[in-house]
Amino acid sequence: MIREHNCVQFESLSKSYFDGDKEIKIVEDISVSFPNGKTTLILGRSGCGKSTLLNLISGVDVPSKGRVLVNNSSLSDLSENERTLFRRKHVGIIFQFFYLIPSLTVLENILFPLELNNISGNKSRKLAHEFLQKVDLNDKADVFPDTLSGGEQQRAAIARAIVHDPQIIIADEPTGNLDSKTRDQIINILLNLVSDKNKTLILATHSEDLIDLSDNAYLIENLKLKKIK
Amino acid sequence: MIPKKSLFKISFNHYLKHKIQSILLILGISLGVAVIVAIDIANINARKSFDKSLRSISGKTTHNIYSSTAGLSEDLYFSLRKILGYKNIIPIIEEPVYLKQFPAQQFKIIGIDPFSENSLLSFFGSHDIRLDSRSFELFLTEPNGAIISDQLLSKLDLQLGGSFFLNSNSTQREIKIVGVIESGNQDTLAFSNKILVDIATAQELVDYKGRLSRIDLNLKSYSKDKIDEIKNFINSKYPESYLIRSDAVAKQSKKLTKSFELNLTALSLMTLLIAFFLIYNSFNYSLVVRRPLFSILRSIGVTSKEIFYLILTEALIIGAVSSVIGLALGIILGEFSVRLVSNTLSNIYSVFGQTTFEISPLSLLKAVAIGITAVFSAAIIPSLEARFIGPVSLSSRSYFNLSFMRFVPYLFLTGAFMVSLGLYITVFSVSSIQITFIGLFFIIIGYTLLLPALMVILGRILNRFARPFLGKIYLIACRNYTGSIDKNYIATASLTIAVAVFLSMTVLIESFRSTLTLWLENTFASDVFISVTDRPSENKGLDFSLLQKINSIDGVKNIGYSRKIELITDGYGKLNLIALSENPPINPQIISGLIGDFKDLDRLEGDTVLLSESFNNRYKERLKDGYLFIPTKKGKHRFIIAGVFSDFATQRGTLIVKHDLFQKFWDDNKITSISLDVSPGFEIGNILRNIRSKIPESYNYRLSTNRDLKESAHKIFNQTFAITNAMRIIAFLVAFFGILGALVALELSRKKEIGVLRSLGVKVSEVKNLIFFETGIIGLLSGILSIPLGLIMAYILVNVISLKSFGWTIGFLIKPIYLIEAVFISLLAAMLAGIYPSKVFSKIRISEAIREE
Ligand SMILES: Nc1ncnc2c1ncn2[C@@H]1O[C@H](COP(=O)(O)OP(=O)(O)O)[C@@H](O)[C@H]1O
Ligand SMILES: [Mg+2]
Repeated sequence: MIREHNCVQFESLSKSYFDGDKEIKIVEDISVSFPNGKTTLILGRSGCGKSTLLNLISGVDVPSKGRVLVNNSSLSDLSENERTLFRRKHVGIIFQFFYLIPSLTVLENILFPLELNNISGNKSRKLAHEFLQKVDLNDKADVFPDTLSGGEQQRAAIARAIVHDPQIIIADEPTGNLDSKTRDQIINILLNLVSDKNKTLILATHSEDLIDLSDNAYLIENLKLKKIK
Repeated sequence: MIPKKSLFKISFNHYLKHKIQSILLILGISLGVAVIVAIDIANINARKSFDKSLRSISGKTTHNIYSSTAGLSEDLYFSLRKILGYKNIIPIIEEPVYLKQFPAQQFKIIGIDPFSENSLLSFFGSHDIRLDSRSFELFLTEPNGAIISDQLLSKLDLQLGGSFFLNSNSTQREIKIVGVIESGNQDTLAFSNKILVDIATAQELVDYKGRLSRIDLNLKSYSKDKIDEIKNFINSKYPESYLIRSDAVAKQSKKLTKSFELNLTALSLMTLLIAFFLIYNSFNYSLVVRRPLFSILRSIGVTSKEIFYLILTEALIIGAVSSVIGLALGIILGEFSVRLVSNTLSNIYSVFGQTTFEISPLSLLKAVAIGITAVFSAAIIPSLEARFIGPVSLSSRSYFNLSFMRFVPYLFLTGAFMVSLGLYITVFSVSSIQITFIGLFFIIIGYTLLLPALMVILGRILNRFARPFLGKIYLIACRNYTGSIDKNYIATASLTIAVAVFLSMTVLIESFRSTLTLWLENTFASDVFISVTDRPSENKGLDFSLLQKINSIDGVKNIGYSRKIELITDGYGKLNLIALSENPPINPQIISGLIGDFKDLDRLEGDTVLLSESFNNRYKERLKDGYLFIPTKKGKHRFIIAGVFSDFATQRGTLIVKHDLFQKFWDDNKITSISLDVSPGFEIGNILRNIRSKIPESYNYRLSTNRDLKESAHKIFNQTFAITNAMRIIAFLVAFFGILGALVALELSRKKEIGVLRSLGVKVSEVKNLIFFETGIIGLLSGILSIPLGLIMAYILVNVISLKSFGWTIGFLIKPIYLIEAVFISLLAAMLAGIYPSKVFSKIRISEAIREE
């Protein structure tokens, strides 16, 4: 497989929401490329549109104008169902509030994306345990998420986002809900895993602490993406 | 305490934002209230109809004189008048007649003496009926003048002064309408199928020349000795006539109606219970959904007391709005059920079309009270819970379930105790029917308390066995069942009870039906039946000469006949007496008695009778010595009880004697029914035509083949069970709405979880499957859980209550298909309820669903 240099591209992309008749613009006519195998930060104050941009990349949402290209093919050209299948295979998402499935155990949560990608049996168990090991949650495999601490939940969520070997990892303020000590631990685990597996990571955050650790960084300002690193 | 304005606004906006849920909530509560109102209306009106049918024409009457044959001699009246004077004695004709336009409907001709001021007074005086003086004058002077109700007038499409034809045995007579009674109150409604004429006209019309239907007496001011004197006088001079207290007949009818009332009450209590669950359910979910909201409010400083009052205020407002809608809905539903009930009444008890439609403010009040109580009790637990709500997150769900789970063992123990007690009361002890019903309720309530534990067990079984076969998505569904017993409990309980009611009604109806079919099959074996459709009386019947004529038709064999008359006794109320020839139309199915298996009447020897089962059960104590006294034309006579036969034809007690015995004591020479077989090789149609040509036109008779007879019996059966059937449908509807409201709310509260699943790459179709799978689990397990309860209820209804209240022994019939049907119905209701949430979730905007709020 030939991997393009640029994994994700925004092409004259605009996005706005409608509150009744009122148009709320988030970004307007932006063209940006996110390089393959690199970590890119999206910065900005709360409510500026970070989550919106991430949603456009994962195909959860569609642009108002312009295109989102992943590996040179446009997400907008895909049907809802195709976008879902794209996300299932190529994207892993990490949320601020972890969002583990409460009725599945930690192990089952990690098995879940594997199963969606038709990986099952011993192979999936082996993979899941390997990642449990990586996020240091071996002893919590069979408990339900609601008994875990926030940091533990986020570690499980990281494992869930990477276990099925997606090309793109999207993290939306993954440490926004954690204390500073836990925050460092989570970021370490995440960045190590990403570089280990050579993933494209796009991470949204409102703090500038992470700029040093990233390859590129953009700031959302005045409806544009401004490259700051 | 009135909640702060902004809190109130938060609530209001919530309901506005979730329109479908709000509509379902209000609909659910309305339906609950409506069911209560409807059943209550049906109940009250059934009772009213009975009361009215029991009222005699003259309100001041203390005694009646009847005859064991058709009609009393007028001479008796004249002689009594000499003894008692004009004032306290009223001659009356009251007989069924037919109108040419409505051959299938029975009307009653009432003949009174217009010149006896007393008889008019007693008729109009005791009934709140007003008649203008002009009509009254005409009634006195016009030879064939009649007073009818405005309902009949419009039915006939006539005006005041118009005329119509009345059919009687041999003549047809033109009747002129001289007066019309406006309907408007209970008494005029009772009058709706009556035609009031003067007594001479009535006598002519019903061939009662020189005879009366009965004599009404007012003996209030007479001593017991004087009354005995009158009794003796009648006995010696007119042995076929007898004096009884007016309330004797009424008492017996009352006894009959009580059992019917009880059944209706039981039905209404059962619906009440379901309705309560429905209402509780609906409101409870509207609160469960808002737990996160309440917890936010709590965390920003709203006190738990404020939330408590907010919820109560909501409950009050929603309860009030829904009640108003429910009342309107209930009145419409009530009208419908009154019609069903009246069908049942006229089929079982021959109460003439005297149904009323009355709404008592009390029943409306009751419905609203129950509705609001249910809403309030639904509000209590969540509003108390509001105190303990912690920070919101997707994972905090288990807290509530955990606290609920602690109670499960206690609920189970209490429930087990209640069910055992209920079973002991209903099945293993001899107790009155009221106590039996109480026992039934112990069982139902107790069973609902067992449910959480049963749900846990079933859920565990499901998880264990389904797990290897299910993908993670379906595993989520299974886990959600056991993981949220608290949320699923009420939905499961209401679905379980509703489906159990449905199942028990099915078993009840089908058990009755199969017993009846078997009975019909054995009781009516002849090929052709000819029967008089008039009410049994001496002159209404076929002549014996007809027997010869029909027997001479080629191809007719095994001809037999029966004679049916009505007896009015002072000990047992009104009874039917049926006299059977050889090869009779009715082949009684003996269930107990001296002669064992009944094959031919020869075994009935001496002065012996057979009793119907219900009659025997009703008077068990009095009949235990093996004989009873019956009024005959030769005076009261003692008859030996030879056996008991099963009789589903009527609730009225029935006696069977051999025809020659009947002849000996009643000296009657008419026939009510003829039966015959068709010899092989003859065409039944030809024979019917031949028979028809032999019977004079003036007879009101019905000629039917074996199949016709059974078909019409089944038709009557279906009408009789219309109310039961309606209950079954209501049970399903309630189940559906209950589960709809509950599941829609439950599923919609999981918007975020669904959004997360979708963002992880779960397809729309998979989400839909998940929803259907989840609701399907609730439906399937509720269906399974409803089977034990449904069967217990059916067993009690069939074996205990129908025997105790109707005096009928019914074979208990369970077919696997009924159980499958119950599970299917439950599953269907649940899956249908899944449609709306799955629609909503398939259009969900993921980005919106997963947004942190
Ligand atoms: N589905 C939506 N409908 C309307 N407005 C939205 C929607 N999602 C986000 N917004 C608005 O768009 C802006 C950007 O939101 P978001 O992308 O969540 O910001 P961030 O993640 O940077 O905090 C906010 O003002 C938010 O209110
Ligand atoms: Mg955001």
